[in-house]
Amino acid sequence: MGWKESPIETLHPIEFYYELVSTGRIKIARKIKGPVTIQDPCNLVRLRGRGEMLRYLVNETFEGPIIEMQPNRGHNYCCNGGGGGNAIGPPWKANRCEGARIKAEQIIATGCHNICSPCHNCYTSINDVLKFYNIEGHAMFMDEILAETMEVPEEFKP
Amino acid sequence: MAEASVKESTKTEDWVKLNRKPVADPGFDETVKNLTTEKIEKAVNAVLNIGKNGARFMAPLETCIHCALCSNACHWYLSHDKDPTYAPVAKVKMTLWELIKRKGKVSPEFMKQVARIVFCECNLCRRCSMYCPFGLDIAFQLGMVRRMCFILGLVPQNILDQTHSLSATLTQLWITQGDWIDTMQWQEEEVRGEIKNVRIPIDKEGAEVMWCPLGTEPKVATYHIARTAKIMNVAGIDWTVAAQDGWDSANMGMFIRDMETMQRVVRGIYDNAMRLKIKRIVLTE
Repeated sequence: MGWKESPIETLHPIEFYYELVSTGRIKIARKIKGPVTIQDPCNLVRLRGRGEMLRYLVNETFEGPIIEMQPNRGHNYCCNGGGGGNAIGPPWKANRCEGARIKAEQIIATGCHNICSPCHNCYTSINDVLKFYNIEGHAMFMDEILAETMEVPEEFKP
Repeated sequence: MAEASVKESTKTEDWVKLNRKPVADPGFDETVKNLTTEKIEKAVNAVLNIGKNGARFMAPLETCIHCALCSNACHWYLSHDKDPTYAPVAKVKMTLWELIKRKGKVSPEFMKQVARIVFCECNLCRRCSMYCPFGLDIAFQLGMVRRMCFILGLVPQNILDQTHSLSATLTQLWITQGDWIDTMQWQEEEVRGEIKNVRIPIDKEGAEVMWCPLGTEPKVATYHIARTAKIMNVAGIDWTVAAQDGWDSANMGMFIRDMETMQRVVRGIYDNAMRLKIKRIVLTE
């Protein structure tokens, strides 16, 4: 089935954005206000071990502080949208949100309204959980955060 | 080890029915009507006999000491007031274990419950393996039960439809090549109001980076394309997207263990990268 090893380097966008920001190809012009918490996507953090790259980016783009979910990083709980959890479809939405009560409790304990969730599954699932349990806040993608905070030099302005 | 080893059983109706809120899903409700014990037996054994041994199935089952350390690792278990039927070990016990014990001779109703457990009460997040004293790969086992269900077609309708879409078009949401290219051009135009002379290069040979979104992005979440275009252009990245099928990195086949579609999706992306002589692939979030 396919190649034994990847024939071409394949990056998760967090690894790519980390490279852009840490080497100065993207400069951060203004940071987002308010405390922020981080949803560690299983694929990126538990399985690929990029928790610190993600925290570097959040640190660069938010005034902070970062209030960690407990537990966090590789030990964080799944958002309950992964592994096909979202994709099994609308009939299972309530079932999925009930199964993510622990995630709601984690978010409430941080008291944060900004939840950095750099994964399509996490993003959808976190927003559903917030709505289901009437928690104030919103999930945020990293592309959304970067597009909002990055410096756009004069020559790029129309 | 007496308790942990799997004894054969011939009884087909002696199993624990879980008391769950009913959820109507044609993928389960309609498919189960066409199943027979013979069909299930064939599908289960087709998966169990991979490599003619089943050692990867048997070793974890024989090693598990039922310490239940995996339970507290599972968000489903914790979210349901520590209901033991949501514990990872119980999920294995109620699915793979029973299927091996009965050599696949089970009723369609039993298989429907198995499908609900593996698709709708587990995310294969692998947190349980981190807390297992033996590091047993529970997600692998439940994943292979998903494969048995997939072979039977006993899969939630929504995700099966998306897998069919990937199988037919290599996109998650039945997106045609014309729609895909048109959406990229539309988004390029949108971002031009914000970033001067922005480009979303399509099929550019020799580019440094090929970006592969999910099908949901051109279909319903085009703002990802706009943001990516903004970031790539300002950072001065030599980037491109592939024009031909094989740009969509959504892999529903991986989730339902449709390995045939799964590998075609991955291969499609690499084929495009090879064709365009790309240096690096960047996926979406």
